[in-house]
Amino acid sequence: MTSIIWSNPGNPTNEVSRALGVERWQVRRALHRIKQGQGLAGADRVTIWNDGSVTDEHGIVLGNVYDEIS
Amino acid sequence: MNTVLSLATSTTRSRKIAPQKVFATLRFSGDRLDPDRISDILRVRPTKSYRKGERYFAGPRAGHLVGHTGIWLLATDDFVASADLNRHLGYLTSLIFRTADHDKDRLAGLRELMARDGITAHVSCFWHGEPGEQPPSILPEATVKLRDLPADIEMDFDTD
Repeated sequence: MTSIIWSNPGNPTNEVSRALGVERWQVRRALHRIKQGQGLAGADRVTIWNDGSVTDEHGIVLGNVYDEIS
Repeated sequence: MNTVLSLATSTTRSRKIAPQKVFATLRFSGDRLDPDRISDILRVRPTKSYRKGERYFAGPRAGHLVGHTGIWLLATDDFVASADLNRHLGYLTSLIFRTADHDKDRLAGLRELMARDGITAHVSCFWHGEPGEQPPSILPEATVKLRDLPADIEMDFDTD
């Protein structure tokens, strides 16, 4: 079952990267690319799930952190 | 036929360079955006592009998504292997402001397209540093040129 690991403004913390099993810069980089690829700004709020999914405030999937790392 | 132009939409590039902690992106977006037209002017294949309402492949885990607006996105870490952010921005400015004898004026072409189709341009800069490391200084000539497109510029700088 998936659960939310980040839904705050700003850059994800070390706890988020640990939960995903990757380095923090990789999460930041992935999130940056996902937001840019969706026409969003850095300040736009998104939710990160423990399966790597990234969704917007309406629950629409924007991408997956792991897709941007591999 | 130019293969660059024939592969312009719904693409996620295969990486040629290892992921970096420094890069910039150039993005055009708008509901009437046709990615092929941007690729045609800049003569480069984007990192990702799709039209509004188009179903595109976002990756093995995300699967297929639907574009809520048109996007043409180029990430410089697909092309530039450097830890110097100014080199990444230099790549973008050379892409936009290049004028060769065989090339029509790219800047004029982009401006015309942006005005006609209601397209906006956005540049983002990504940097991730070591603890205590100072963020990079960006040369004003790059930002002046990009704002002149016009593009808005966003910085995403942070450290461990």
